[in-house]
Amino acid sequence: MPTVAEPAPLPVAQARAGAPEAWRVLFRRYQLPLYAYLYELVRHEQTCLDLVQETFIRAVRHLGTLRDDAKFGSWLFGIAHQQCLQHWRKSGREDFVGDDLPDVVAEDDGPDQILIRFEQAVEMRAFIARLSIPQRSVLVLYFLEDFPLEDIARVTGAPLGTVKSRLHHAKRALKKLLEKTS
Amino acid sequence: MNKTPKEILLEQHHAVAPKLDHLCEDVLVTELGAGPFYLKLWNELIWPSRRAWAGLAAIWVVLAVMHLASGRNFPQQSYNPQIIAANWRAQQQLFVQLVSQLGSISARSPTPAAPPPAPDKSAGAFIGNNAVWA
Repeated sequence: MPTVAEPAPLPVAQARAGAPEAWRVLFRRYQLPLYAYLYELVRHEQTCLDLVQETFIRAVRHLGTLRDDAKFGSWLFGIAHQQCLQHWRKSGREDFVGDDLPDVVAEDDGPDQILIRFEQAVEMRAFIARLSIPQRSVLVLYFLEDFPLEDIARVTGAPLGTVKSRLHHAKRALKKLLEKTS
Repeated sequence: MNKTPKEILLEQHHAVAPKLDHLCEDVLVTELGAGPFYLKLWNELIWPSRRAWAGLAAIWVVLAVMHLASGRNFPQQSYNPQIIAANWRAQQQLFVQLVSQLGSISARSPTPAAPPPAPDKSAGAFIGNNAVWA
């Protein structure tokens, strides 16, 4: 049976001790997914770069508050999400608060692995852009980092049932779109 | 070719990767003091007071321009090494002439006479007294 090489553990403990090289490894690992996540929410390059920078600064300053090193990724995305909310509050935007999706939890969403053909990529991006911000946030976190639902709930500050509902509706709508365009 | 949603979400942002690298290095330098010395100097000394440094630089530029502008009024030939050497030779000749003139003056003049002895104050007083008596 072929074995899959497990990814090397992240040097969170060394980073907590203040080792710059450990921080460099963590930044390299998360900089692009963080940027992509923020870009899907904000859609402005310079603002996203500023938010990523502020996220890293806060991570360096507050790593001592992280209890479980294995949760570093979701903790970092949580900081980024909070930075994004602050940015919206400052700019007077209010459509990020919530959506009116029914809080129904589907037990089976079908196969999780979604594969998209080259010609469907544009449609997928357009589909994500049409989602409400809370739904978009959940779906992008799910796609980018494959976080468990509990972690997505922690990142977005939404109840677990709401996160399940948002993800279920978003995935179902995306699958419908992909079926229609295939 | 099929792709995962993650690949699609990330692939459109690869162009911004150098900016992200730069941003990360900035955070490492400012928050952890990592990086080369000049970068630390720039981030800790120059960048926080960039307006003050820019003002100082502007003043120096103005001073330099004023100095250059005023420098054009000075005679430039004084810096010519040939003229400096000629001036030096002329001063040397003048010095030699002065020294030789002083030598000839001292050879011609006689030895000054010895000063007359100082009058004896007690004798004078006695004579004076005699005169008074006479």
